[in-house]
Formats: sequence, structure tokens, C-alpha cells
Amino acid sequence: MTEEIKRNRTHTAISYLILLVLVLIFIAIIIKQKHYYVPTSPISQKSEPASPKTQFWLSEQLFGIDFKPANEIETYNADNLYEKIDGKADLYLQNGFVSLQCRRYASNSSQEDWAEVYVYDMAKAKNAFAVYSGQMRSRKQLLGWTQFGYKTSDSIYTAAGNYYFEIILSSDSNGLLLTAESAAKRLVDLALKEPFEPFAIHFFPTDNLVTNSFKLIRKDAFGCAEMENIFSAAYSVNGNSLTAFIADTQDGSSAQALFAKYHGFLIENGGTELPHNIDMPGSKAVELFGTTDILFQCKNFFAGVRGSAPIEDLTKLAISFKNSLKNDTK
Amino acid sequence: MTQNKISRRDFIVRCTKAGFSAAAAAALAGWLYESDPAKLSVQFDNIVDVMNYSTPSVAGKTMSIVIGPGRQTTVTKAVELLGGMERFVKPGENVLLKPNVGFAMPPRVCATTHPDLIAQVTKLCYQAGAKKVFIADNPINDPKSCFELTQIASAAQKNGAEILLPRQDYFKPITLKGAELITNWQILYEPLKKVDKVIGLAIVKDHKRSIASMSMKNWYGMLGGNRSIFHQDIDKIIVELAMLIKPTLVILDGTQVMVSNGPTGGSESDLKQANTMIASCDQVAADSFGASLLDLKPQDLPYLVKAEKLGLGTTDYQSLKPLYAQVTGAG
Amino acid sequence: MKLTTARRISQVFFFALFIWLCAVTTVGEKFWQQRGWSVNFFLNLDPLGAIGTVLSTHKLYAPLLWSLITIILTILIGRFFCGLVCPFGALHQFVSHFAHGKKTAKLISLHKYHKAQNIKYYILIILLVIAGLGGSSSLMIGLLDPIPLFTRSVNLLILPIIGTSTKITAINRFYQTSLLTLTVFLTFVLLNFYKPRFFCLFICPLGALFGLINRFAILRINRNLSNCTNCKLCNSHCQGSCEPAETIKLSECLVCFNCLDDCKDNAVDFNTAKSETIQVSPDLSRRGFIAAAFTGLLTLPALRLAGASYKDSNLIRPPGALPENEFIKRCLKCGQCMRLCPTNVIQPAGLEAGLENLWTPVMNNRIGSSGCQLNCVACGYICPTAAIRPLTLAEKLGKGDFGTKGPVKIGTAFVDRSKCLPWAYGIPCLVCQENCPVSPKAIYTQPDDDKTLLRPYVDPQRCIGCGICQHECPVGSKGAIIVTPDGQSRENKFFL
Repeated sequence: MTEEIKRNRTHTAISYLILLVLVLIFIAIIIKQKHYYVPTSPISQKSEPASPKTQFWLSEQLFGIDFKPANEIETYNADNLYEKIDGKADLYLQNGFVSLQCRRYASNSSQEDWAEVYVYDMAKAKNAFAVYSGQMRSRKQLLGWTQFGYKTSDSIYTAAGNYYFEIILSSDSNGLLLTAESAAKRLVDLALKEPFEPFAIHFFPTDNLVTNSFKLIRKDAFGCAEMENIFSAAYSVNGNSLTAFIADTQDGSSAQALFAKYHGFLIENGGTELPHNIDMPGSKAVELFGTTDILFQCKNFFAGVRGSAPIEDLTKLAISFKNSLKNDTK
Repeated sequence: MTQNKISRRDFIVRCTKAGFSAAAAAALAGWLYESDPAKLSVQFDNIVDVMNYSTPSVAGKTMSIVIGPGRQTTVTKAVELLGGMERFVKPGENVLLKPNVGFAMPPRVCATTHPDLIAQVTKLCYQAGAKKVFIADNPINDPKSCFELTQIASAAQKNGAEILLPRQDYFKPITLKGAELITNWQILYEPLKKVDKVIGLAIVKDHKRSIASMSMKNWYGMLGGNRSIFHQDIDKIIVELAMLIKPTLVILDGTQVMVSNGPTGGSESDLKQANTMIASCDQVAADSFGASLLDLKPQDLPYLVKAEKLGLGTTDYQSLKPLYAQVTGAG
Repeated sequence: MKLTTARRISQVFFFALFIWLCAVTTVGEKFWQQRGWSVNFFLNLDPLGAIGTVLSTHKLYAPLLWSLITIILTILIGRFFCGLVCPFGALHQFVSHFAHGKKTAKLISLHKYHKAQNIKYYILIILLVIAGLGGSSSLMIGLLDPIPLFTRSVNLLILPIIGTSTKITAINRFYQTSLLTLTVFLTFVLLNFYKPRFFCLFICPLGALFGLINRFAILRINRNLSNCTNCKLCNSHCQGSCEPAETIKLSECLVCFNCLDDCKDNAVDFNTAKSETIQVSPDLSRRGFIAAAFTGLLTLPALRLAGASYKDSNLIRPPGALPENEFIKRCLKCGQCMRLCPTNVIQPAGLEAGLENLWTPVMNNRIGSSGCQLNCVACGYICPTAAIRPLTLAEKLGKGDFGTKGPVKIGTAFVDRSKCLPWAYGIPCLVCQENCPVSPKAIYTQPDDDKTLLRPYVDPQRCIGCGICQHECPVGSKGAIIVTPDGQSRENKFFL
């Protein structure tokens, strides 16, 4: 009988041992499944953290108390920008893009309301303006409180300092748009606190300037093939529209060269040279098909004023422009 | 109730056997353990440098051009001008003749090297004391048919040369140092290994893709595998082949030149009687001169320009001071 | 607690674990998705996969080292894997239980040992010879090894059917070659009606392997002759048909412990005792061994004689697949990559490229949700033998350290101008160009002669063969932009 008991005991022991092993395997598997690597999420292989200051801009409080961040801040640099914005990356990469940081904010109350904020560090104010003006949407409303900014029914776009901001909203609810605009204001303030190099836009005289009429003409400005990267602004003087423009030339000799080219272009196409204005030595004035161009060079810039308007108005604006350039630039 | 207990000795034996097997399994596993997954790209261990069969150069005796209607007399003269076959082939050496046997076509079509030329060059080699003359090529059409229909097989047999048909085991995957295309590619290696000297026997033909097919294009017949893909960069492959094999001598037969519908031709009207035989230690120079037989300049052939840039020869054949001669007599 | 109880619990546990691990093999972070679940648990424990790849590649890929545990335990205590762990075996045992009655006399004759049980050893030898055949070897073990076989049947057949019919999955998954998968699976399951655990007894090469190495088992089934009354009851539920009532065939014992329960005289036990009535080695004859080896030597060259090899078929392998002759040495045909692939584009090949390539992964761009996603490296991540190399995204996309090497290309797209809408009919389209995921795009456009519409062109230098264009193409059948295996970066071909 004892043999049988001994046998049963042995069997029981082995059985429990087997069960123990099963339990251990189970526990090991449960522990293992917690530590994982999801193979399909985008991985930035060489992501340097972007300027730490922008980490603070995309703070918990950016959208106010009714919203909170829905994810961690994502950072992208030139290598992997396309992973976030695909084909649109080219525009940024061609304009000195440094980094993108973005974050989503979700409403505490309503599940359908969320916003995604994009902070593009473009290194220079000029670049930020280039990407801002290079993809302006139609059906927009200009923002009154900033130099470069507009909104649509479900998004806000603004450039300030060296940065370009986009806020994309999940719906066109008015409340959401207002909250987003406040957030945009905060971001613009933060961006303007940083030093940035003023570029051509900032030298346009402000009198009679039509608000937010800045344009960057990439090529063939005013019909001339060599006129590339021309900033222009519209003015309204005594009921007439005038355009002031400035070319983004880097040094005196290229400014001079472009001056000569454009001048030559106007004359070749049948323009008439007008007499010099005494107050503007070195300037030239040409009239062609009803439009008069006053061209001048100031330091490294080639600039001008054009329009179908009385020569006095044009001259006044040109002088004002030249002075502004003389004073504000180095 | 007696238990059939195991004796201690048997138990130990059993445990030892089990233990040893387990340990052996573990040891084998440890020895073969590999934590890194296999890489995507294959590492090549078959890298070769240039296969150099050339002899020391002699100034003024690099290139010869002989005019005459008979292949056998012109080639004899051409080789004689360069110092005779004794300069190139030493007694007891094995020689490989590499003709163009690309197509299964009769000699009168002139799409392949003429059997008379094969016969004469073989004779010259044996006269110089060669131990054995081999003939090899990897044709486009069926190899056996090619060697027979072109009558190269019978020319070889009549003069004691041995044909090496391109068997599967004659090919070896080779990577040429510094090459982009000849990487792990099947090359007709065995015939090259067997011999001390290599002589190319090419003809002058019009070619749509490479513009012309002459002594440098002739080495295409050393390629195996799916070589038609190299037509996508024909100039590079021709240059790399010239980097791979530096022949002792090339003989470029311009007696009857295929000026149209190359490289297969097929009609008498495709041929022009140019009666020119070229022998050269510099195949770039040979082709540069051969181009003129097709009314082309060396600059019209991109592979010549590339080859010259890489120092494989010169397109300015005049600078080599080629030796000219004229012989009469058919044969 | 009886040993049979523990064994049953163990079988249920491992069976449930197996099904669960197959079910969670989907991309995602929820607990019912991939996460860190060790979905290759059984494949890693399977020593046949390890031995097969060792023979074909002369290396033991790290995760397969787990199978050493199985081997060592089998050496020490016999075929515990067959009796307690193998989920396929558990399935067979379960089906057999319902397939046959309870009458004892019938059961005893049902579980008689049959000499043909040595066929599985010959099958094992054939498969190992094929795997070890030098430079051009091929891993055909996955065809009959129960773990890959069952994994494949569950992944490519059972789970998709359940998913589609119960609508658990949001999108229906499709797997071609399903009839073949069904036939093989169902045949083995239904054969249990003829003989219990038919597969385990006659076919299973893994069981054969265990049967060869358990001869020194320290613990084993023993029949105590002095207690035994020769009632033959211990044969009535013997899963391995190893006949404990007569000469116990140790190589066939599946460690199911049923004989312990059936014996009324406490004569059968599982211990270290030395039994007089035991036959340790399987019924293998030297002649049989030679015949099997010979068959193995002939089989692979015979298969390749047909010339219907990978090269000539339009087989496109997943990104990260090793060069073909290395790939075919490692692929277990387990179907994990096909199950995990988020777009369902990886499909099991049929017989179009020969038996060698049956159930190996190939891309079928017209099936599934999208062609091969650009930012996905799931398939290599899960492959148990790294036949598909586990790529990092950087390696797959050719970024960072892999910038000079460039992206992994699995093929090239060709526009069929005789079918493409803008080309053949002057109808505007360009869905392919829109969806091309690489930047800059590999599909560019040029206006036609009238400058009225744009027509697509493929830039072969940029195209990675992902097949999204082919998937999106509105033209039916294979589409009007077709990906072929040309220009793959893993084969050293030049397609300029």
C-alpha cells in the first residue's frame, strides 16, 4: 500500500511541477509583451532634438485650460520631414528648413475638437516669409494683429521672426477657431521675442501701404526673366495703385547688374527714358505702355517703384523708400 | 510487489549517455550560434585584378597596318612588322586565340572571324614554338553550331588548334577590382587560366548599340550569365572588359568590313572590301584606326574615349607610329 | 493529482497559448495586438527549424537557440513535447477522442503499433538531406514540420475564416493558395478518424527527431512484470501506439501518461526503472535509411530540373528578403509574415514556381489594402529565421547610415501603355503618380502631344517596387502599371 501512496505522491509532485512550469511560462510571456517595439511607426534614425526653446512653446497650456496635449511633441529634421508632410517637404527644404516640431491638442469636453500645431524653424525671417507666401490658401481672411498671417475656416497660418506656424483644426467650429487664434498669438509673441534679421519686406515704407499686400515673386517679375525673388508691396496714393519692389540681391555688384538688366529690358521693349530726378542721383525712370518705373540702387539692394500714376507720387514714394533703405540697413 | 528498480550502475550509465548527448547538442549550438541576421548584400570573395597577358612594349613596334586582299599574307606581314610571332609567343607556351564566333553564319557573311585568319595565326603560333593553341568564345547562338558553320572548327582541326566549347564548368563568378558591372559575374575563366598568352582576333562591324564592334567589343564573348542586361550601359562593360583582360596582341581584320545591318549582316551588300589588316598591342589604338574603315572618328565611339581616359590605350594611333605595308597575293 | 490531469492542463494551456499568439500577430499596441507578445514562441522552441537551418546555413540564428531546451529535455525525459506541448498534437488527440468509440476491445486494436510508423523517420531523413545538400540546399522542412504547418494553417486559413465570418476584423483578409492549405490541414485532421494521431504516428518529422534522441531518457514508461496481469488495458488509450502491454517502443511513446491511468494493477509507471520489455530504438533498417537518403538526394535536383524556378516566375519577395538562394535556405513557410503584414499584400505562393516555393511569401499587389507601405518593416521583424532580414527603417529607406546604399528595392513598376487610361484612351487619371510614396516621386508626368492631359512615366532609378501604384490603378485584372522583380537591390543585377 505504501508503494502506491509513494507512487501517488510522486505523481502529484511531478504534476504540480508541470503546472508550475506552465505558470512560469505564462508569467514570462505576460512580462515580455509589455516591452515592445512597434515596427511600423516612423522612427527618426538621426533626430537631433530641435531648438529646445520651441519645446516650451508647445506647452501644456498653449491652448488654454479647456484643452490638453494629446501626444508628445514630435520633432522632424531635414532627413525625415517628408515622413510627416510628404510631398510638401520640398518647399521647406528648398527654403532653409531646420526643424519642425508639432503637437496635437484635444478638447477636454468635446471629442471631435482637436488642433494640430506645427512650428517650423526656418532659420531666417526671409525663409519663413518665403514658405508663408509660397503656399497661401484661397478663401482666406487676413489676421489684423500680425504682419504676416491669415486664417481659413479651419486653419491658421502665420509667419513671425524666423518661424512659420500652422494650426490645423479638426472642424470649422467658431469656438475652436477663436481658441486657435489665441494660441497663434502666443506663438507669434514668443517668436518675435527672438532676434531675427529683417529682410526686404521690413524696409518698405509704411505710409499708404495696403495692409498685408506683400508678395514674393519667384521669377519673371514684371515680365522680365532675370527678375527673380522680388518682394513687392502695394500702395494706394491719391486713388492710384503703386507697387514698390525690392530685389533680394546679396551685394552691390549683383544689385547693379540686375538694375542694368531690368533697365535694359524696359528700353528694349520700347520704353522711353524720362529725365532724371535731381533728388535721386543714379536713379533711372522709364515709361512703357502707360506704366512708369523708377529704378534705383541703395547699398546692396536694387529697388524701384512702378505704377500708372503721376510722376510726383511715384518719385515721393521712391524717395521715401530709398531713405528707409539707407537708414535701416547697414 | 517487487519493483523493477534500475541498478545504480545502469542508472549512471544512462545518465551519462543522456548527459553527453545533451552536452554535445549544447556545444554544437554554441559553436554555430549567430546573433546577427544575414546581411542583404552578398560579400564577394572572388575579386581579381587585371589578367595581364601583354609582353613588354617596344617603341615603334606597337601597331602595324597592312593593306592587301589576302588575309593570310596580310596577317603574316602585320605580325612580322611587329617583330614576328616569336616576340609574343615563347617556345612551350600555351596560347588562347579569342575570335568572334558569335553567330552560326557562314564565313562569307563576315559576321564572325574568318577561318583563314584562324588557320594562319594558329600556324604562326606553332611556328614560334607554342606548345598548344586553344580557341574559345561564348557565342550568342548555339556554340557547337557556331564553331561548325563558321568553319572555324575545321580550320582549327586542320592546324592543330583545340576548340574549347563554353561548358558550364568553364565559367566562374568573378568580381573585377574597381568595377561596377563585372561584380560576381560569370566569366569564361578556365580557358584564360590554361594559357600564357591571349590573342584577340576581331573583325570590323557596324553595331547599333555600341556604334561599332571591333577588337574591344570582341571580349564580350568572355561574359556568361544573362549578359544582355549589359547593353544598358554598353560602353561601361566594354571598358571593364578591357580592364579585366590585357591581351598579348589583337588582330583586327578589316579585309571585308560590315558597314550596315551589323552585327549580324547577312547580305553581300552589307560588306565593303577594305583590304586592311591591323595588328596592335594597344587595342584602343587598333579600334581608333578601325573606326576610320566605318567612316567614324574615335570620338564617335564613347567607349574609346572612356578607355583612353582610364589609361587603357590611346585613340591617337598616329602617336604610336604605326608601321605600314602593302602586300599582294590572295591567300 | 494524476499525471494525465497535468498533461491535459498542459495541452490546453499550450493550445490556447498557440491560438492566442497567432491571433495577436497583427500590427498594433493594444493587448490583443502584437505589442511584445512572443509570437514566435513555438517556432523558436521547434528544434527541427533550428537543425534544418543549421544544415542549410551552417549557422544557428540566435532566437532558435531556445530549441536547445526542447532537445535537452527530450534527451532527459522523452517526447514530452509531443504529449504535453505540441498544439497540433493536442488538436489531433482531441479529434481522435471524438472520432472513436469507448469500447475497450476496439480501442486496444485501434492503438496497435503499425510498422509503417517508421515512415516518419524516412520523411525526416529526406527533409534533412535536402536541407543539407551543400551550396544549393533548400529548407523544405516547413512543409511537414507540425509547428510551421499548424501556424500556417491557423494564420492563412482558420483565423481569416473566423475573422471574415464573425466580422471581428474590420477588413477581410485574403490569402491565395487557400485550397492547398485547406486540403493539407483537413486531410491530416480527418485522418484521425482512421487512426488516432495519424499525423503524429506516421508523418511528423519532428516526432521522428524526438524518437531518435530519446533513447537515453532518464525517466521513461515502465511495465513492472511482476505486477502485470497481461490484461492489455494499458494499450487502450496509448496515444503513440507504442504498446506498453507488449514490448514498449520507447521511440513512439508520446509521454501522455494514459497507460498509467488505465492500469488497474499499478504495473505501469513513469520512472527510472529498467524495463525488460522495452525497445529503445525505432524500427529503422539500414536499407530503409539508405533508400530515404537516396530519395532526398534525388528530390531537390528533380524539383529544380523543371526550370520553373523563382527566376522565371513573377515572384516579388517582401522587402528585406535575403538573396534568393539564401532565402530559400531559411524560409520555414510558417506564414507569420503574411499574417502580420498590415496591408495583406504578402501572400503565400502556390505551385507556380515549383514545390520549393510553395507557401513562401510573395507580393500580390492587387490583394489587400495598399501594396507595401513605405514606413513599415513588420515582416522582417517577425520572421523566425531572418529569411526576411529584420530591417530598420533607415536601412529600408536608404537614409542615415544607409544613405549611400540607397533604399531597398523589391522590384520596378512598368506602365502598360496599351492599358493605361491616359496612354491608351486619352482619359485623365494619374492615380499612380499621386500615390507613389517616395519623395521625389518615382512616377513623373509629361503632357501628351496635344498638351491636353498628363501621362505617367516611371523613373526606374527611384522606383522601389512597393506596388502601391499597381494596387491603386483603376484598370482591372493586374492593373495598367505592373511591378516586376526587375531591379531588385538584393539580387546583384543591374537594371539601369
